[in-house]
Amino acid sequence: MKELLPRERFARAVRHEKVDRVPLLYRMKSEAKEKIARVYGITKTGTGLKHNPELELRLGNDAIIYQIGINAQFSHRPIKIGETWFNHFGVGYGKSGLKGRTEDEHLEFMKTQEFWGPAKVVPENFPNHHPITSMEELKNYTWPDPADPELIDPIKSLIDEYQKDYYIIVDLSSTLIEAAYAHLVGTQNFFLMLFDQPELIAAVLDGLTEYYTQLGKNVIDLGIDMIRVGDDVGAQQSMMISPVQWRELAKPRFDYMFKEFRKTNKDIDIKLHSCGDYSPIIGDMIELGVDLSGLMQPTGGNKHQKELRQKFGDDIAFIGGFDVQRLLPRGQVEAVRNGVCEVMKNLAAGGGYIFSPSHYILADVPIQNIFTMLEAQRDFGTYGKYPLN
Amino acid sequence: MFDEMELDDPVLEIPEGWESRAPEDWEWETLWDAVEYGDHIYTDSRVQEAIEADINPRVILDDGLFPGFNLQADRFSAQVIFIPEMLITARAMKAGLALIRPLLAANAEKPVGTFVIGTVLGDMHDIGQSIVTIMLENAGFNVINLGTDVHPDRFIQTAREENADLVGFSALLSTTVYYQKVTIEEFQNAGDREKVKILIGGAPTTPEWAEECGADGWGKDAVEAVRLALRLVEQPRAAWNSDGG
Repeated sequence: MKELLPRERFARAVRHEKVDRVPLLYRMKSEAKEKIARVYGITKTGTGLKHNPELELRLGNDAIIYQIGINAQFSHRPIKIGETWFNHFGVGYGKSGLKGRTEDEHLEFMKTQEFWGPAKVVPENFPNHHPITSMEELKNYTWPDPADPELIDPIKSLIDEYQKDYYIIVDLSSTLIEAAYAHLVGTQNFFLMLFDQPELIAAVLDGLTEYYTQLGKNVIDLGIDMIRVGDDVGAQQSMMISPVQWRELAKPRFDYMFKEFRKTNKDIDIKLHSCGDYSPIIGDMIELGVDLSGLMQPTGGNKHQKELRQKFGDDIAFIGGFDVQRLLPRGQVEAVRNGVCEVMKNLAAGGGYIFSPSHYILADVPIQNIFTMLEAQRDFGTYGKYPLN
Repeated sequence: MFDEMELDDPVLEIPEGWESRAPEDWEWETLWDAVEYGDHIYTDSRVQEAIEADINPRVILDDGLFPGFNLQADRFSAQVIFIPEMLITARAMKAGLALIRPLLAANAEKPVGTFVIGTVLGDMHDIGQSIVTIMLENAGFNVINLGTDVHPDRFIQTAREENADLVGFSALLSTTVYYQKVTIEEFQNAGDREKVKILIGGAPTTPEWAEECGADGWGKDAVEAVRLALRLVEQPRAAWNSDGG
């Protein structure tokens, strides 16, 4: 088969059409991105709303993924230790790491961190103020503007610059249940209010549905290829909430959202993402008309990759599945290589698959493992050659 | 598999001979149900009634509160119920325990042990360790939860102040599990490693990692963590000095 353009390769894989090789999508957090970029002499390493795709394309990504959901604004933003930063949802975020130490002490500490070795502490931004914890707060709450040019304008230039060759994905995560528990309401509040104040939770989920439906329609209108909806409902061993409860809380709202998306562009590809084990709802994703499901973190029920591919793989495309919890950060190069081969055998055989680590690449991944993964994916990711012959 | 998978739904174990430990015409079934369904308001009032009826607090705990709680814990472990259901059952249990605990103390019943728990330095995730905390409290431990992003020194200092029997470190990220190891090393350096049993847990952790980082045990989930804690607290440890050092 002749070599496809990256955007064709990605689009065809999503539609289960024949491709020359397995398309790729690598994503990394800023610390990992800076570490890898140095090797390639790349200096533009922006992430989140400041995303610069140069490194990812150098690594072979077939698509460009740009985040505009609630996660984009906080997770990649520099926040000083001890400070709380509020986003346009009114959620406050602080930085973890070295609690009680000053910024200067922290910088001093960072010097001691091995740049090339495993990162000992990578401070993370984390929600520490939740704006909706009562009916009173909900009444006074102002939902953000789904036409915010700060979110939408950068996508226009991405399309102009890259869409000729690359497939353009816009990421709305986190979108619904996760946006509610992790950001707007707070986790414990959310779970208890499901019983104590279900009307409050319903209202928050409705508000999020409306906001993200409008935001999604606005960006679909720009001509992107895929809208990515991310909503973490999986824990390591099982789902966080029951599949039954997910079908009550999330499914009808996603149904509405996705139908609205398709009113704007009937051919828009839709991805639904969850971390952790979400295997019990893959059938529901198919019913919702989801095109691509990931990230197939190989834990809990998701670890039966072959069976999942067999059961659902003709009706939905998969992305991810390569272990980032142990194999990529800790595995010896041989194990990493074999791991890539295994994932290709399990998920790529028969098509409808995009290779990706099952989450962001974090700062603890050794460079040699990144190179091993890149090499193995070239060796084992070509259709017509072992193991995809 | 998956949707066709048949789940074993655990059943409520009725405490043998409970009638002999309760006044005539007494019933526990509504309390079992209340704890199972997470009705903390009814749990509170029914436990209050039991106390007023002069039922031994230990009996209220074992015959009244634990059956519903254990049922849900087993279901949680078997993935029949999930975090929200477990949380409201834990809250109901907590309401009952709040009334009983002072009475148990007055009867000179001691906590099963003292457990210092927290998420390691650099990691802000707390869903898992909050659930473990609630389950440990319900199992009779005195739990000191240091929250998230906890410096090793703080774990050590608290373990000393509280004469802890067990210490637990949670971590969700592959980048922060290192700090489980570092914190254990700091206990070693401080000369306190033999005085506590150390448990670790969290998404990227495994039994192999527990062994590698020098922990005494690893729990797959909250229920298993509590079972492990109950076993480990029985094992010999070096004594804390009376001066707390």
